[in-house]
Amino acid sequence: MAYPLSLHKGSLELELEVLKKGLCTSCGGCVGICPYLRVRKEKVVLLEPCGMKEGRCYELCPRTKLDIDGLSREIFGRPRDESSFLLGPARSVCMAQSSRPGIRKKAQYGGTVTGLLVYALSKKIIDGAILVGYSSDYSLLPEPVLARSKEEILACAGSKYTAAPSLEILDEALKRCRKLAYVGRGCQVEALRKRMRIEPEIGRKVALVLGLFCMWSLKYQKLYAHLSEKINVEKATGFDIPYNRFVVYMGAGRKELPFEPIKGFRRTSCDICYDFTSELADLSVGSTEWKDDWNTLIVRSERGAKLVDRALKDRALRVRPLPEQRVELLKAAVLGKKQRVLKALFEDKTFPAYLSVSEEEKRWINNSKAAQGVKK
Amino acid sequence: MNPVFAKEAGKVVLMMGNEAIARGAIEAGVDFTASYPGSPSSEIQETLSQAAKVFGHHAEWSVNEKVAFEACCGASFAGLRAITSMKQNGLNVVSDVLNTVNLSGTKGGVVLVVADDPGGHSSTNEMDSRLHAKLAELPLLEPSTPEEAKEMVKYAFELSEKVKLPVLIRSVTRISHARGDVRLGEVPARNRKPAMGFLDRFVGHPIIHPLLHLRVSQVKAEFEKSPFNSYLGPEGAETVIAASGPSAVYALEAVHSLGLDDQAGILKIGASWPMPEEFVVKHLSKAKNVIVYEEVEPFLEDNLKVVMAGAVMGGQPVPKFYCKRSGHIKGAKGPAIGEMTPDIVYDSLAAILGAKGRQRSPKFAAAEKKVLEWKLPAREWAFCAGCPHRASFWVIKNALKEDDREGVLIGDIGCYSMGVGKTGYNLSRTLQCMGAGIGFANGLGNLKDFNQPVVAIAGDSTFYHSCLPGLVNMKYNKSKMVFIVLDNSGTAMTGFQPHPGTGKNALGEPTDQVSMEKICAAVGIETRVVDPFELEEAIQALDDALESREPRVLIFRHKCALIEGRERKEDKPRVFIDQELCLGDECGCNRFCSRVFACPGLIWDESKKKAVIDDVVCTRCGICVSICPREAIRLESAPKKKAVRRKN
Repeated sequence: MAYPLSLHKGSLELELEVLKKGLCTSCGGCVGICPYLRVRKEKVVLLEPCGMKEGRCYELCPRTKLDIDGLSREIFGRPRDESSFLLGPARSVCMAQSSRPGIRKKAQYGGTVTGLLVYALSKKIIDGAILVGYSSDYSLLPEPVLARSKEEILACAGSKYTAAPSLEILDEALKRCRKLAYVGRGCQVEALRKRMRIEPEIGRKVALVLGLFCMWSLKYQKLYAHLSEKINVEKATGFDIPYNRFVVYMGAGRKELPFEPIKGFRRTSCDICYDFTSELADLSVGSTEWKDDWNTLIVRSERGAKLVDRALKDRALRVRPLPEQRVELLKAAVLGKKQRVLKALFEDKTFPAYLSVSEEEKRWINNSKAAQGVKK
Repeated sequence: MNPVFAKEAGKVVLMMGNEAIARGAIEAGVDFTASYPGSPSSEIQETLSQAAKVFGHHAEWSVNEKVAFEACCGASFAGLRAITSMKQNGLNVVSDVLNTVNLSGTKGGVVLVVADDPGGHSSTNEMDSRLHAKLAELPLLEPSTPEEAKEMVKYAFELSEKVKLPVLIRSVTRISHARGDVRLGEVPARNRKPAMGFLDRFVGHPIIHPLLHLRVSQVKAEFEKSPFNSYLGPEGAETVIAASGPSAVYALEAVHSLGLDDQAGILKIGASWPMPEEFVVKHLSKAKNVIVYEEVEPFLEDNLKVVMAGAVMGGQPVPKFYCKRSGHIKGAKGPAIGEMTPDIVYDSLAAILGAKGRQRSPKFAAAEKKVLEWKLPAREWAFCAGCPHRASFWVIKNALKEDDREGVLIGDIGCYSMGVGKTGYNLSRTLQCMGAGIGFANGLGNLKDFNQPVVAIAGDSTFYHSCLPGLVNMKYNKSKMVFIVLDNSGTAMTGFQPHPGTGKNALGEPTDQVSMEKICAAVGIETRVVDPFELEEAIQALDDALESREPRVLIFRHKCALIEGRERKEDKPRVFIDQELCLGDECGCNRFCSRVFACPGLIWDESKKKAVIDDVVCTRCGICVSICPREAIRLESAPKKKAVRRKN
């Protein structure tokens, strides 16, 4: 079986160009398909070069050539334009929440992701979801889980702020599911889409790709070392970063720590991420930075739209328009990040220019200014 | 019954050299035997341990050579006869006490047999032990045949008791592991009663040095008339070949075979230190040419030269030496390196004396040519199929990579020594002597500004042999290192001798087991026992230990595949490779099992381009099942399914 690969590079180059450069996003995409790649506490390493000249590992990595234009066209059936340069292809941008208070209470903000998954599972739209729970061995370490029941989905509710390389279990999950849902960060969605390009049959078994807004993820080991100095980290059950504050939950109690030092533990790779809103997902979900029991929801694909419509009809989900001013704030945040990333990749050239975007998009982003009266 | 134990004196029995040595001790009525195994010496104590049930002497595998020799000295202090045997490396472990007990002296006969390994077939060096005899000023005997080895052991006990000193016997591989006819002698009744009288005091102190010299001169007087030293050949021959050990037999054969019997005499030196100077001068005084054959260092050669230099100064004519230092006697790698062989003796003798070389029958030449044409491939160092060390090295390889700080593995002595090579993924950075690994790691783990993690390994037998001081030191001086004991439940490399962790003694009887985890815990080091076959669990355990950045011990416990195979009663499920699932050369594997993990039981089928299990070699250990990313390697029983939840 020969895979249709276009980059003609393999594990050796993956190690040199990505892993050793600190550019790995820990999406987990390469780890699950290859015994030469391993992950320990979210850090991906190459056991030894496999000896192949080219491989899927290099091809699917979100930090090797990322043809965001081509991928957008293939997934959404139309090219990127001024309407999609900023937030990606979008049918609508709105506020959403699960209509179940129980789910909202357990989940992050409005519980949109958890609610949609529970709904999709109950309607047999999906038969399993790759999610992230917490490790039983290591405090605060996320661990990929294939959730196949409502209870298992609920157990994974809530954001994790370190990398959680959950694509690692994709192949195992595909052995057990025919209608799989995947929930991940922008880089993970990119890797999944790149993988589907190599192996289209995977696309046929993935029923839903749910992207999460992600400004950065933290390095687990650095965070852990930092927290060990401040708190009894073994007792910590989770943490949250509401509006740039850092809150650790210790069973029933909670403790707040200064966020500024923790910000320094973000992954280097996140600084060159162009994809804050998971532009290649069917649906993208994030916070509103405003209303704590609501999410921002971007509906991108037809299949995403269908799921949202059904959930609304069955009253599993509630939506509201996102006020124009909040949309502008979101766009301003994305614009600022995209401008910084383009500068780093194409002007300062401090990082390899993995990103492939049209000259038109580059120009548009570089020349745009945030809307009047909106703070960046 | 073992024919080595036969009581009929006069009977001729074919024996291995090591058995002959054991028989010598039995014929000397030995009371106490204690050793630590090491090739090529191990069969001596093995035979003596078996013999213990027949003859009633004490037999033990001691934790190391030093303890073994000291125990023998203890028996001697009470008036009993005792023998210990070891390989050359073991003598270094003993050397401390050897250089005090020479001063204190002994009482009952004490014999130390050291079996050297010229060429280092199974050793990390090819050290010539004879220099230790000179260093410690102790009598040295060098047998040339298994039978002579037996006779020398008997004599050594008598000599030891006469001069109150331990006696060294230097065997080599070609004595210890060769077989020859041995004439059995009487086995006397043992009736010594151990006792330490008021005056039995054994104090090593320089004040006694003159007494040692007196004793050495007593030995020298004995050796002047020793039957182990002989001259064979024409009186007053111009050419005299001096030789010791098996080299003397090679010389005898070569001289005869080359038709040089009338030209050259052979001076065989069996009782070689202290030098029987008058005997030597007597036979070399008329010689113009002296040719010296011996194994490894020019020990005999140098001693002869010193004796002859003295004689020359006394007016003797100057003989010419053809020897190692002159460059005349050498093997392929040069003089004083590797084993002495009949070929070296033949070729050099012919060259020196201008004789026609070795003649062989045409039939032999034809057969030789044919065999050489086969070009048999060199056998690679490799762990056996099913060996737990492969799993352990795999775990270490994975964990050091995952840790990603370029951690170093410090090796030690045992089967896992092969970890310096491909079979251990070239991981081990050191290979020296027993217990050295934990010592090296103690230093590396305490270097400021050295950020590479340090992992040391040692086997279970090595742990008891010489790792305990290093273990205590690592705790006391807070060396940041992980010490892994590769516990495979036996001294596998030397032939599965029991050790304190096995709960069995040298006679195979149950005894108190000394728990290594309790020792480690008592030292106060956090210790975990893991089965290396549980790959992911073991990798995680090592990762955790490395991340702790403090002294840690891991015990990787899994029985040696050979021991397990012997004990196993029921058949295990066959391992096979699902040829449909096997990826072979493709992306996602590229022969991960046969090329990278590399167990000899799992091979590459060139014709099918798929991996395949070699049913003859495979031990059905099943470890490869967890290696395969496609789950193509399966057991001939129900397939396993587990929850999809990745453990970090």
